Amino acid sequence: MLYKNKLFPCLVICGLIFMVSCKKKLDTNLDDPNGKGINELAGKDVFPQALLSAVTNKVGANISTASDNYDYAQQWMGYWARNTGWASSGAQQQMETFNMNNSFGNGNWQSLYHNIYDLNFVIANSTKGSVLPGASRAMRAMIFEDLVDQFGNIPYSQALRPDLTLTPAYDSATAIYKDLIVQLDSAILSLQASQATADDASDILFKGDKNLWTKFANTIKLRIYLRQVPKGDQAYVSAGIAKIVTQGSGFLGAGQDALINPGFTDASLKQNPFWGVYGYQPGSTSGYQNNNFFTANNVMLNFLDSVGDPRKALFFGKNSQGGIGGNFFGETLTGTAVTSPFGPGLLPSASAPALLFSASQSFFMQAEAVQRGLLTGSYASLYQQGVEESFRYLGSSVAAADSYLSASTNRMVKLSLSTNPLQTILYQKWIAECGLDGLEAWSDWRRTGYPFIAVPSYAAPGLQTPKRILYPESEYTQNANNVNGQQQTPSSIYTPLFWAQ
Amino acid sequence: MLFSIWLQCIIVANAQTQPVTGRVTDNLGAPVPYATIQIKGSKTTAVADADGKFTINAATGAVLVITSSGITRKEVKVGPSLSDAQFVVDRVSENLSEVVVTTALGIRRQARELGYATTSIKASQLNQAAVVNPATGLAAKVSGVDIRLTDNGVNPQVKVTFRGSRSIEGNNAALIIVDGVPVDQTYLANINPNDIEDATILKGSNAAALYGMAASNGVMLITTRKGKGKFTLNYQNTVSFESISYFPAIQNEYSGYGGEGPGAYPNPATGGTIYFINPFSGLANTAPFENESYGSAFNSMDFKPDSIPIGLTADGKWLYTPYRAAKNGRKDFFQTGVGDQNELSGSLGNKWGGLYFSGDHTSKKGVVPYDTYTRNGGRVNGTLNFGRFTASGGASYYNISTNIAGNSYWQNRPLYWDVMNQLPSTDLKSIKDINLFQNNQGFINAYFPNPWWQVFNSRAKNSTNQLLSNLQLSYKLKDWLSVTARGGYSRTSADAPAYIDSISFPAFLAAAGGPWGQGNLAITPGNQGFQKEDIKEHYDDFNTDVFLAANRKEGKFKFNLIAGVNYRTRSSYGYWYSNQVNSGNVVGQNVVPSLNTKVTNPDGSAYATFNYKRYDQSVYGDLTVGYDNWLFLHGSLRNDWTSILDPKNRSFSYPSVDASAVLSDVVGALKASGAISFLKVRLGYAGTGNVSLDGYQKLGVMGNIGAGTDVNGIPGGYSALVPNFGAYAIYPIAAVGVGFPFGGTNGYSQNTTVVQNGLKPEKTASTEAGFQLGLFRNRVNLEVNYYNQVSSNQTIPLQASNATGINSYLTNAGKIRNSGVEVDLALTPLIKVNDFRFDLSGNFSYQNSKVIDIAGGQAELDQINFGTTILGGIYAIAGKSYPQILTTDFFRDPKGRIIVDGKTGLPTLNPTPVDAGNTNYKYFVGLSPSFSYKNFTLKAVFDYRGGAKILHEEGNAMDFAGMYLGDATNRQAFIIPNSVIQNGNGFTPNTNVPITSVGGLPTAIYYWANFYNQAGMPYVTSAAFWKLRELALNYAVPRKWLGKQPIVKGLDVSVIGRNLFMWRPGTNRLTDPEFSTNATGNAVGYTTEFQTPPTRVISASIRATIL
Repeated sequence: MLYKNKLFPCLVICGLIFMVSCKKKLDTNLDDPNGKGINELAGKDVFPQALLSAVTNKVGANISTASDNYDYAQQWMGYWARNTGWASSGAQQQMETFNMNNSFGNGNWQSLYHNIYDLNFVIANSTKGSVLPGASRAMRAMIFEDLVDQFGNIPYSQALRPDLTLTPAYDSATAIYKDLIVQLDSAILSLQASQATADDASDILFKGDKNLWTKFANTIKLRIYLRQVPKGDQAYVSAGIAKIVTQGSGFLGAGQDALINPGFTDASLKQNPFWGVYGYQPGSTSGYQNNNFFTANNVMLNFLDSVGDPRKALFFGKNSQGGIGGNFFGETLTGTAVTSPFGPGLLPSASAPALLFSASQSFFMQAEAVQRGLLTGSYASLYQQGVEESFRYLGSSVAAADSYLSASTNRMVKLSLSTNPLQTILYQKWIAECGLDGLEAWSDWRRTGYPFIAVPSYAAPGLQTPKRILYPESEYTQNANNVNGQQQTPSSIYTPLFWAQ
Repeated sequence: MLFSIWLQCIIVANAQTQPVTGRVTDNLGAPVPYATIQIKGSKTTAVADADGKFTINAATGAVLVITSSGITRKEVKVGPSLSDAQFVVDRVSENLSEVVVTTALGIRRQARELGYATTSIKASQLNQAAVVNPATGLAAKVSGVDIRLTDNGVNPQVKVTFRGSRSIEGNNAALIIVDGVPVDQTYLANINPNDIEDATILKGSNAAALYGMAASNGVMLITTRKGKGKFTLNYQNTVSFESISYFPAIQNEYSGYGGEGPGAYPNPATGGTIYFINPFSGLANTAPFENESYGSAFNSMDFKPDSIPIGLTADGKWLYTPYRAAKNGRKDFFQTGVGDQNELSGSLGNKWGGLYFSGDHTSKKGVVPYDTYTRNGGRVNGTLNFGRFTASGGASYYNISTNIAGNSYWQNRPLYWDVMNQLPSTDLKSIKDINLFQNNQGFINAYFPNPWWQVFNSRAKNSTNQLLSNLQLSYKLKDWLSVTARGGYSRTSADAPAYIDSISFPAFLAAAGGPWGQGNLAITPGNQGFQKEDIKEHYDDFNTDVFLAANRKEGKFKFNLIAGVNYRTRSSYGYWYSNQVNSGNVVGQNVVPSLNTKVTNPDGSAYATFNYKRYDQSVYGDLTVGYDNWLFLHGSLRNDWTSILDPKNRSFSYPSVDASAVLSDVVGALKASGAISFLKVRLGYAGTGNVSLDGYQKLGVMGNIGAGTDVNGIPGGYSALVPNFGAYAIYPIAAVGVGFPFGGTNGYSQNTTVVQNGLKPEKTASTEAGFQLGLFRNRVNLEVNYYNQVSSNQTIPLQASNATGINSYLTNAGKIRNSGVEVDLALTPLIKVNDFRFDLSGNFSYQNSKVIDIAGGQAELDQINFGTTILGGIYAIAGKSYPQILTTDFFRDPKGRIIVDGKTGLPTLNPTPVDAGNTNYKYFVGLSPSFSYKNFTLKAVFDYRGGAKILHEEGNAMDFAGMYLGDATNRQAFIIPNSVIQNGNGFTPNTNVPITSVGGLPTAIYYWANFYNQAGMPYVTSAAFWKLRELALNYAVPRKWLGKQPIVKGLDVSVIGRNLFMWRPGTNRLTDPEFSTNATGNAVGYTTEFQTPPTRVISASIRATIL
C-alpha cells in the first residue's frame, strides 16, 4: 500500500545515501585531541617519567594522607620530627603512636606498582639493543625490593598483568628476593649486550652509560644479599656476592651517585622533587607545608653533637636564634622550642639533581661486606670513602671528611678505636642517610638493631618501632581473598621480615 | 519582514466587536487551562490562560465553542450578562477513554492506545509552589520519579531519575527533551517554569524506545507554550524568603582546646599567662584560637572569667569574645535569603499560526551572605500553518549567573565548614567587619579562616548562557501520510572564574614560641599570594529527525506507522587556567589532575584545553495496529550507530512490543457495571541499549559544586563540568608525568585504567504490565504498574588490585535487576459540599535495584566501589540492593557489641569495611490534598521516602572538632557503652575498663577525635523522611473587585511554603537525608560539610492577566 506512493522508496534511498555518507563521521573518535594513546608511545617516552617517579616516590608526597614516600622511616630513624603543637592526626598520628591502620600503605603500594608497570612498558617497547630494557629491569628489581622491604610477601609472579588477572596471588618474600637476583642478572646481561641508541637521550639517570647501569645493578644485588645477613642462607649470600665480583663491573664508586635530573629548574612543578616537597616555593623563601611541618629530630641532633659531626649544619639549618634545635619524634612541640628547618645539604638548590642512590651508601655496604668476610679488601678504607662521599654529596669536602675522621676520638667515628667496627660502619651509614634514605636506615635497623633509639616515639611510650607496614586497604577491597590469605592483624607490624631480627 | 506581515495577519484577524470575559472550569470548580474558545461559524478564537480565564470579542447571541483536550466540547450562547462568567465543562476524567497524551517524538495519541505508562503533568501542577527550578516542582507528584537535590545553595543541582538504576556505573538520569530537542539535565534549572505547557513523563524504556540509547533511562518531554487566541499578557511576580530550617546538633557546653602541648605561654593580650592544661585540675583549659572544642566546660570555675582574646585590631588593641557560649553564634551567620521572580509572557494566534513570547528575570540572595543568583532570558515560539504545510519553531536564551563564596585559602574548605569550625564562644555576626583586624585577615582561629574573610575575599562565579532552538517542518503528503523534519540546536557556554585574595598575617601570629604560633594559619600555610582560576567551556548539540507518519483505517483495523532517521552531533570544549599551579595552597600541584594538554608557564600559571565530540545516527520504525478501538498492538525497532565505540561494536539494535486492551468497552459485565467506568490492561516488553561511557570532565578546584570528600583538605570541589559524551573513552590516554616536559624531554605514564578490547553497549530488557481503573464515573482513578528491567553487559571499571599496576579495568561485566510497583490514585473529589471541595491524589512507588552479578562471580570482584568516601565507599555488591554503603567499623562480637582492649578500653578498627545498607530509596509516597472554597484553594504536597541509609561524613569532621552534640555526651574517661572484652573465644561485657589516652592527650579528644571518628558506622543513619514539600494558598480575586479598568483582567494572589517541615528519625541529627554529595553520579548516599544546611522557603506570589 505504501509503495503506491513513489515518495517512500525515494526517502529510503535518500536515507541509505545519508547513512553511507556519514560513515566517516562515525570515525570521529579514532584520534584523540586531548592526549596520546598508549599505542602512540614508545619506551623512550615513558622511561624519563618512570625514573623521575621512582625518585619522587622516594621523597615526595604529603603529610596528611601519607604515604607514598618514606618520611615515616625518616622520622622513625630519628632524622626528623614534627614541628608543630598540633594534635597529630591521620597518617602522622598513626606513625607517632605506632597504631597503623591499613590505609597507611595505600599510596606507597599503588605508586610503586604503577611505577613498575611503566617500567614493564619500557622493557617491552624500546629500541632493539638499547640500554633501556636492561636499565628498566634493574630499576624494577630495586623497586620490588623496596616493596618487599616494607610489606613482606607481595604479589609478584602474577602481578602487573591486568589482562590475565585483576587479583594476583601473593608470593613469598624469600622467593621474590631470589628472583630479583635472577632479574638483575638478566638486566646485566641485557645491559652488557646493549649499544648506544637514540633512546639514550631519555636516560635521565646515567645518560645511556651501560657500565654505570651495570654498577648500579651490581650495587642493588649487593644490597639484596646484604639484607639477608646475618639472617638467611649465608652460603647462598656469599656465593652470590662472589658472583658479583666475578662479573667484574664493580659497584657505584666515588662520585657515582645515582642522580636523576631531567632538567630541574626553580619553576613550578619543575623543581627537584625533594625541594618541591620539603623546600621552598619557586623564587621564594616561603616554605612548602612540609618544610614548615618537619624539623630536626633530637635523636640525630644529640648524636651528631656527641660525635662532633660537622654535617649537622648541612642536614639542618639555623633557627631563629642562630643555633640548631629540634624536637623528639612524637613529642608535642612546646612553645619554647626553637627548631631548625632542613639544611643546605638536603636542600642544595631547586635545580639540583635528585638522589636515587648514593655512592656513600655503596661504599658503606662494601665496607660491611668486607668486614663480614663477604668481599675482599680494606673495610677501613671503604668506610673512609663512605664518609668522604657523604661529605662530598652534602656540599662539604673530602678533606673535611678526612679531618673529621682523623681528629675524632670517638669510636663511632674513628674506626680504629672501635671495638665493634660493624656498629661504627652502620652508625656512620645511618648518619650519611639522614634525610636521604630513611628506608635504608630502617632496613639496617631491622636487620642489625643499629641505631639504638631509646624512646622510639614520645607519643607511644613503651612501644617499639614497627618492623613492617600493613597491607593497604585497597588490597582488602580489591584483592580480598589473596590478602586475607596472608592473615595479617594490626599487631603484624611487629612481625619481622624474613631477613630481619 | 515576513514575520511582521504574519504578525499583522494574526492581530487584524482578532480585531472585532465587544469583549466577553470568563473562566472555564470543570463541573467541580477546578480551572481548565488553555482551553480554546471559538465563536461558532467564525474564525475568532481565544485561549484560556493557565487559570482558565479568557477574553474574547463576541456579539451578544453568538455561540462560543469551548474545546480542549481533557474536556468534552461545550457550546454556550453569549448572553448580555456573560462578563466574568463561569463556563462549566465536563472533565475528561469523566471519560478516560478520550485522553490524549504526548508520546515519543512529540506525537500525540489517545492514551487508550498505549501499552505503556505515561504521565502528563500540567504546568499549573508543576508550578503550584512557584518554583525556580521546574524539576523541584515535580517532587512527590508522580510515581516512579526520584528527584534529588544536592543542597540548598543558590543554584542547587537536581537529579531526576525514573524507575531506579539500570546502570551500575553509567548514567541513570532521565533524558530531558524540550520541544523535540534533547538537552542536558542541567537545563532544567534554566527554564522558566511558566513557559511550560505540559511535561510528559515516559518512565520506562517501552515508552522511550523510539529515542534510542539516549533514552534508556526514560524521557521527560517538556512542551513549551505556543501562541493561541487573542493577544493576552500574563505577569507573575513572586517574592520568596528562605531560611535555614534544620541546623546540625552542635554542643554549646565546652570551650576550645585541641591537644596543644602541656605548657604555659605568655598571653600577649593580657600580659598574663595562658595555660592549656590547668595546673590545679590537670584538665584542659580553653585555647582561644582553637577549632576543636575539647576544652573546659563553660560552667567550669577553673578558667579565669576574663574574656577570650581573638585577635589584634589595626591600631593594636585586643579583640575579645566573652567566655560563654554564643547561642546560635554560628547559625546566625546565615541570613534570610530573598528571591524575586518576575515573568511576563504574551500569546496570540489564529488559524494561520501563533506567537508566544516570554521574559524572565529572577534574582536570589542566598542564605549564605552575599551569595547571589540571577536568571535572565526569554523565549519566542512561533507556529505557521499553510494548508498542508505547517512550521513551528522557537528559541530561548537564558543567562544564569551565580556569585558565591569560594573555598578557603587553605585546604580548599567550603565556607560552611569554616563557619562550623568556630568555637561555641564565637558570635560570628559580631566579627563581620574584618577590617577591624590587623591586615584585614580576620584571625580568630588558628586553623580555620574567619568565614567573613572568605565571604569577602574568595569568590566563585559562574555565568552560563544557554541557547536552545528548534524548527519543525511538516508536510501532509496525503490525509493519512505526513513527513516531518525537525532540527534542534543547543549551545551552552559558561565562564566560571574564581579567585582567592592574597592574605598576610601580622607578625605576632607568626612569632615562634607564642601561643598563636602553634602551627597556625599564619605559619602554615603562612602568607598567601593571590590565587585565581578561570574555566571556560561550551558545548553544542545538533539533533535532527526526519520521519514519516502514516495513519490508515481499514475496516475495523487502524494502522499508525512511523519510520524515520535521526542524527546527532555533539561537541564540547573546555579551558582551564590557574595562576598558581605549584605554589598555591588551593590550586597547588597536588590537587590539579594530570592534564594531558596542560601547559605550565614559567610564572607558575598553567592552562589546559579539552575537546570532545561525538556522532550518532539511527533508523527507526514504529507500528501500532488497533482493532475495533479497544485492542492495540504496538512494536518498534531501532538501530543505533555511535562513533564512541570500536568500529566492530558501534552498530546495535533493539525491539519493543506491547499490547493494550480497553476491557470496559468489550466485556459485557464491565459495561453493565455501574461502578466500573473504565478498565484498561496492558503488557509490554522493550529492549534498549545504553553506551555507558558518558561522563564529565570536572574542571577547576576552587569551585564549590558537588564538592568535598575529604576533611583533610583534599578537595572534591570543581567549578564546571564539561560533558565528554563518552568520546575517546575506549582509548585511555597516557598521563603526562608531573613536571614534564622538561625542555625537550617529555615523559608519559600509562593510564591507570585499561579498557577491554571490543567493549559493547549495556542492554536493558524491560517488561512492564499495568492496568488503569476508573470507578464511579471516574471519580476514583487508579493506575497500577509493575516493571522489571534486567540490564546486562554492564560497563564496569572493575577495581583491580593495585598490584596489577592499574586501578581499574573497564569491561562488560555484570547484571542488575531493577523492579518496582507504581500506584497512582486520584480521588476527585473526595468530598464536595456546596462550595467546599476536597480532592486527594496520591502515589506510591516501590523500587528495588538488585545487583545480580558482577564479573561472573569471581569472588574478589563481586563488588565494585564507584564512590569513595573518606570513611568507606558506595558499592555495587553482587546479590545485594544497589547501591550499598560499605564503611569502616570497629571489631564487634557476634552480638554486635564493640570489642575493646582489656587494658586500654579502646576498640580496634576493622580493616574490612562493613555493609551498612542501601542508599537508593525503596519506598516513595506522595500525597497531594487540595481544598477549595469559593475563590480560595489550598494545596499541599507531602513526600515520604524510606528504605535507605545515609552516611553523614560531616559527623566525622564534627567529632574531630568536638562540636557534635554526640561527642559532648561524655568528656571523661568512660566505659564504652555496650562494649565487651575478648576472653579466649568468648566475650564478657566490659564493666570496668574505661578508655585511656596515649600520647598525653586528654581522654576525650583522644577518643572522639582520633578513635571514634575513624569509624563510619556511627555516622550511618536511616535516610527516611517525611516532608511537607509544598503548601500553597491561592486566592482568585473576583473580577468585580478589579473594577472597570481595561487592563487587568484577572488577578491571583498566593502565599506559598516550600519544604516547611521535615520529620526524620531521631538518630539523624545532622542534615537533610535527601542531600547527597554526588549529585550527578550514581554514588548517592553520603553527605559532607560541602552541603549547606536545609532551608525552608516562604513566598508570596501575584499573577495578573493583562489585556
